[in-house]
Amino acid sequence: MLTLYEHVIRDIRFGDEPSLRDGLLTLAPERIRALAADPLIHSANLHIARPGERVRIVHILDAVQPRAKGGEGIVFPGFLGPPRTNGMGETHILTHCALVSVSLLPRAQEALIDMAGPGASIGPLAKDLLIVLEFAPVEGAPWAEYEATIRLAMLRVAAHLGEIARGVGPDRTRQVPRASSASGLPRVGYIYNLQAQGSYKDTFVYGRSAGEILPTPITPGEILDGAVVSGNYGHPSLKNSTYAHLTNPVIRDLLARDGRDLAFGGIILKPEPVTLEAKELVAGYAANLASLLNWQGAIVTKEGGGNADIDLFLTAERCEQRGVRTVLLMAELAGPDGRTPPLLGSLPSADALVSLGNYEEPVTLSAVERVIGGDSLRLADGPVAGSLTIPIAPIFGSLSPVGLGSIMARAQ
Amino acid sequence: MAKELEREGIPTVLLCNIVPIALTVGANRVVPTRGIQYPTGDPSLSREQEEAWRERLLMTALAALETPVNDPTVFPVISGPAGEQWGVKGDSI
Amino acid sequence: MGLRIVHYINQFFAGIGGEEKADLPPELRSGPLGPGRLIQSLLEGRGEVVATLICGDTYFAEHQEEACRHSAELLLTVKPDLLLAGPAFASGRYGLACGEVARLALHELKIPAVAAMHPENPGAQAAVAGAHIVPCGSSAASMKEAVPRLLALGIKLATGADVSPDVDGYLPRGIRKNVTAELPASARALDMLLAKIAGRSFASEVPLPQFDRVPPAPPVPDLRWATVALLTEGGLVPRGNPDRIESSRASRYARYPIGELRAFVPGEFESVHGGYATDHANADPNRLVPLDVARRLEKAGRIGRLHEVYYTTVGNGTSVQKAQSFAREIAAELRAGGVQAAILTAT
Repeated sequence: MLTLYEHVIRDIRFGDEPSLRDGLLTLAPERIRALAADPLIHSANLHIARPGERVRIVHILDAVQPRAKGGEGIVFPGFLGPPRTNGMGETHILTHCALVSVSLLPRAQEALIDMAGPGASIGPLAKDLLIVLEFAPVEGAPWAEYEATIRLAMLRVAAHLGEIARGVGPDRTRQVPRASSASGLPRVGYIYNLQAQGSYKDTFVYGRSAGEILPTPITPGEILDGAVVSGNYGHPSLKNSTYAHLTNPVIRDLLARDGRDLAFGGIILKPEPVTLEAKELVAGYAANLASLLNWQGAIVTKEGGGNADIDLFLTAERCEQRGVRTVLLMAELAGPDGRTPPLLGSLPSADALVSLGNYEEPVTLSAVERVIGGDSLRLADGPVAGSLTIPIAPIFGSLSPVGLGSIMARAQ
Repeated sequence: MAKELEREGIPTVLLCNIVPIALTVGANRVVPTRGIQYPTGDPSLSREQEEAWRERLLMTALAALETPVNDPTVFPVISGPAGEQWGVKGDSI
Repeated sequence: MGLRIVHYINQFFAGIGGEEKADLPPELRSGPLGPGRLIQSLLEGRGEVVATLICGDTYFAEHQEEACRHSAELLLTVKPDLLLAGPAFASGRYGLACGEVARLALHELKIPAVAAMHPENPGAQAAVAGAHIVPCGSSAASMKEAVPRLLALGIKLATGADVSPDVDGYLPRGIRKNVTAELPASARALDMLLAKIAGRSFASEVPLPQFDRVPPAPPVPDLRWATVALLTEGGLVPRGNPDRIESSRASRYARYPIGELRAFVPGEFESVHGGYATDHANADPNRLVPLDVARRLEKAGRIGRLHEVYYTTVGNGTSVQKAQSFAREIAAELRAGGVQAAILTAT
């Protein structure tokens, strides 16, 4: 059993000593910079961005919702300490805020957040108070190592922020059981696809790349304690940030409805291999597990683009063959005008699809007063602070594969 | 497009990697390849082995074109222990 | 509201005449005519049918370009807030004209427009081209039922209200639009899954592709006496991409001569496909189109003849309609060239 203490953050300011009181989070910039320090990091500048401010944050790499253990254990096992199974004891999380990393990184897809204007209603993190860490590498730092260093720095800071909440009365307390004790209700589980294609497109489970794993059960508490961490800088609308893993709405809803209209059957982590042979293997393996766990149905999410659709459809097909009904969440590639058929192919059993929106539909962002993270954008011509018309895709988390966003597409 | 060419009366064999989707979309004669990026190749093999693979692949494709089918059908490349071609009609090279 | 509406009808509904007057070119008359009077009575002060655009069905069918041009001109003289066309019921030529006029009003003149016709009317194809078409019965017996729905959708479009086929009942146009969801995706997914498990009906939010089967073409009895053509969706083009084939959603295909070639030489051909890493294909283009082996098989007599050109397009997000039209054209060329079979490589 994991006891989750949720602390709602209402505002953030800088001060000499870190503290949390009545929702006001005081950060000590020197402490944060010290935690973010590393020989490969030249600078880590701290910014705050509040919902409604005319601020644009660019070159976003990842986001993390701060958390720390209350007693024994560590969050982000495999990164902040030895990879020991967690998901038990007490964990403090800071809600309504997020730590965001920003840096120029070649090969990373452009990602941005607008805190006000049309972009704000589309980007899920625009509702949070954002603590932005803007990193720059020392000259000559190898990019792959620098990228790993930023990740570690972020997790250290996220844990530090969570620790500030220790000893503070939470706004809400939740119990997260390891497994459901509900009976007489439809047993529903979650097949959680992770993209792990190596450098820049990796996902970590207990600190190890998810590339070569076989589908494997994991408890919700472990996810909440940071067992799954993102190292993925692919398209921001087609990848799961660490924040998305930690606040996964599918897991949240399964926990919330457990005992009410369903029995939460558990989570299966599943990789998305590159070859068809391996895809077939893991799809069948996951379906096997799902049926072994007596699931009557499974929600399946993906990570990535068209190639990952195949994993989605194959998984659905194999599950349905075993009597496990499936519903898939996916974004659509329907073209800028919405007229391209949204699916390039499918399999007959994949007949229940939830839309996460048309990835390519353009949106016009309004001009902003302040930009954090860079003075140019690879996406559009014109000044980075100006009004931009871009496809919805680069808005961080807008079409999040696990459903963080609020967009869907429908026929018009 | 394979299905569309067949609709126009030209027997067509499709060499592709993602076979399940090709079948569902309706291609009638499908030969599985070894990789998306190299439909008629395999860079993990030596040059000689790769050409031999390409030949086996093409021979299978020709056999598919000479075989009557009723539904979408997969023609996997098969070779025997001594490298001889199975399931292929005609003179071997 | 004060909407200014133009109503498009044919010569028959305008009371001009029957088949014998079907060659009438487009003309504009003031005020409502025929079913337009019903529209006018339903408006109840919200607007006015200021003019009726009339065209003979035969004229429209036989001079479509000119009919469209002329109609557009006439519409521009009126500058209405809304165009309503039909109902055409099951009348094919009339339906085609209504659909086309509705489409051009919306897409070329930016005038909100709706047509009404039986869903199986050939003119209903205009929906896929972007026209709003309200389905109705097959004969004028359903006039009283169809016209109010035609008008209702028209008013919504003219006043900028949000519309969708599910709510407003018009034929799907194959267009997807982002909206803010009322419930999170996770909630919708669980609701859909519980319905599926219980055997209750559910509606997939993303339209599923239609799979139609094509009867297989008969095999070639013996390829030793046949001509075979090589084709690819992998975007193999001569270096420099002289015909500018696009790397995704290709709008064209090309053919290139290989009659003199024994194999593709790396550097002289390249792949422009945007959907995968092309290093392996560029290092040896025969990995994309197996010319080297095909030529050997031809020389050895396993194939009668290798066709002197190969065809290429890029299969990255190409629409089904494009694929169909490419295949039709290519098949005609292949038949003319005496080709009996095709080998198609895809990435």
